[in-house]
Amino acid sequence: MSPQGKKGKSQKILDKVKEQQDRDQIVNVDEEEIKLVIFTLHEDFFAFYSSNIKEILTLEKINFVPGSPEYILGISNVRGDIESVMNINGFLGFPPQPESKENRVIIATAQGIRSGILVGSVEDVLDVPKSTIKSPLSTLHDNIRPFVIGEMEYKDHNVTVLNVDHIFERIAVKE
Amino acid sequence: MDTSTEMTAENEGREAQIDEIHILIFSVMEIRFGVDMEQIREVVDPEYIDDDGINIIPFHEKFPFPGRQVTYQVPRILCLKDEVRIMVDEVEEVRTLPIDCIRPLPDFLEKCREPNAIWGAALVGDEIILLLDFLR
Repeated sequence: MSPQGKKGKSQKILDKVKEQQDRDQIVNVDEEEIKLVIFTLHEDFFAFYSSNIKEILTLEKINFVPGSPEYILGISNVRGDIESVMNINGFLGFPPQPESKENRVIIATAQGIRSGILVGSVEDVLDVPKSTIKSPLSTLHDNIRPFVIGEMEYKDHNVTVLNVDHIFERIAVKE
Repeated sequence: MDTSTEMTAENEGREAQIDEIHILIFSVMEIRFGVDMEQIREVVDPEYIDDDGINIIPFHEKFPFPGRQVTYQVPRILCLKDEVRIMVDEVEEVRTLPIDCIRPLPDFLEKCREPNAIWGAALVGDEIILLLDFLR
């Protein structure tokens, strides 16, 4: 038995393990959480940081504006204001979004641009620890890779987290 | 104040008094458009248009609808005051709109689309009427 006041090796190891656990817990408490808006395009799950999102709207009539580029679906009347509505499917390599009653328009702002984005459905708005967002898969298609922040799991679905800034930046370049 | 300054001030004063616009409303491909009646000389059924050599421009040639087959169910010819004739569809009515129901198009849309005569949108109930200025 160790002399009183002197820690044995096992106790030193235990202390170190507990210290590490405490440190981990402190990290977990302090870890930054990110609010995400999870949505679908066709059968795939995606997310935006909610800091870029102003509103989520049910799909109202979209009025095509002649002379608009292909990715602009048109304009919509949102409580007396006019919002543009775009289709980002083309940028991501997806075919156009089929119409359904689950369709939503996500009003997003980034790069000095404000516009609605048509999505298949909005599944959830939730806070997640930043660490749950992992690096993007290396198998991602080249079309989508420039817009991806990372990947995460949500209810057995793989969710690709997209960067609205990068999407709007690409559009700003096209302008 | 010199004469030109006085005239500018007078013009600005006159423009500031515009509080409504008379527009002719028509549709093409179920999209409603409105054009200031001041730009229209007459609206004619294509069957009764004078064959005086002036070209008739189908609306979709000036304002493309990419990927869509544009058809005209009830075609009418808008004869503009500057001798331009444009074929549109389903002329509905002439309406007086207060300018406070008119909104500019979103900045982003204005930047990324080809410039053309569409200068704004009027909100009439839940409906949107795209406003055209053929002189723009």
